[in-house]
Amino acid sequence: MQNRINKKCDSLGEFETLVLMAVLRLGDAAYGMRIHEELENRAGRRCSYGALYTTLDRLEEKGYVSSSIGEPTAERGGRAKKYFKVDNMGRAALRRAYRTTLRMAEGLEPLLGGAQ
Amino acid sequence: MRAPLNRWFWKVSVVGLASGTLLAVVGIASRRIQLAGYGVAAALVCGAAATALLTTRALSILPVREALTANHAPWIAKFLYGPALIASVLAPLVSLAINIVSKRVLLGTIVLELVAGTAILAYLTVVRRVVKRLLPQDPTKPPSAAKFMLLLVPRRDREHLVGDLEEEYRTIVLPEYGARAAKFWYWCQVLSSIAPLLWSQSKRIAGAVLA
Repeated sequence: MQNRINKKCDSLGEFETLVLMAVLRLGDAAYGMRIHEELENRAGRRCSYGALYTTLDRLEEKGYVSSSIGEPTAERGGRAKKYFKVDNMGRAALRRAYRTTLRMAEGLEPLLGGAQ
Repeated sequence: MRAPLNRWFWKVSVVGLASGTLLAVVGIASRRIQLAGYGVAAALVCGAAATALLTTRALSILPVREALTANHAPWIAKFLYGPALIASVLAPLVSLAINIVSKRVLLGTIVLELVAGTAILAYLTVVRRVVKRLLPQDPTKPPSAAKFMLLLVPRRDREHLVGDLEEEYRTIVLPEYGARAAKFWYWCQVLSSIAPLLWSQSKRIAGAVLA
């Protein structure tokens, strides 16, 4: 039972994977608005900020990302940014998810009409 | 029948005075305005106008604005300060007048609650509407009613969520789509953001309680 729970915690959902990738890609500039923008521009995923922050909180609880508070800025009405960074556990989980996708997709290119 | 009822009110009033004042003092001392608010609420529930009078007066004398600013973001403090001030000034005066004239504690308290409630409602509707019409509107500011709804968002995410929404509103949506569409976008974001965060928070609380 415990093993099943651990496995469930280790696995990444589709949206979690996208969010982790966005945070990893943005590097030091990964905060709420940028992640939201990245998800919309690159993955074509429109989501609410509520859904995004819920996912980021969950990833933080799992130990996949860590957060830090930045400086307040005028365009944010004097509110501080919350920066996110992918931790080692997050990188490992992302690597596992990526490899799993590659293994599952292997040999399916002709059926999918090419990789691109 | 009248004497025992009065004695009962008196006892409840004393307990309310003690607990309400204690809570209000502890709340102010620890700079937690919510706790101080519970003190006033306790006084009101106890049915003693005198209790409510004392605690609301104490709150109006004590630095409410500073306490609000220390506990909340500036825009929340600004929003809460108006109703708090109106309620703390008007309610005790009317309550005192009623008590002096009628010498009926319960009636005074009911009126106190009605006046406080009406003052808050008046502030939220009439006064704000008049001010809105008189003052030139700043289109770069997101709708304040929508911002007020964001108070429902759990505190751990509230500040960053409001900041992100405001930044996207000012830098992307407003210049690209105009004020009307930007306000509509802001409302949509607020309404769609509250539900997942509240759901996640309630699951967290339920998990903590069950564990």
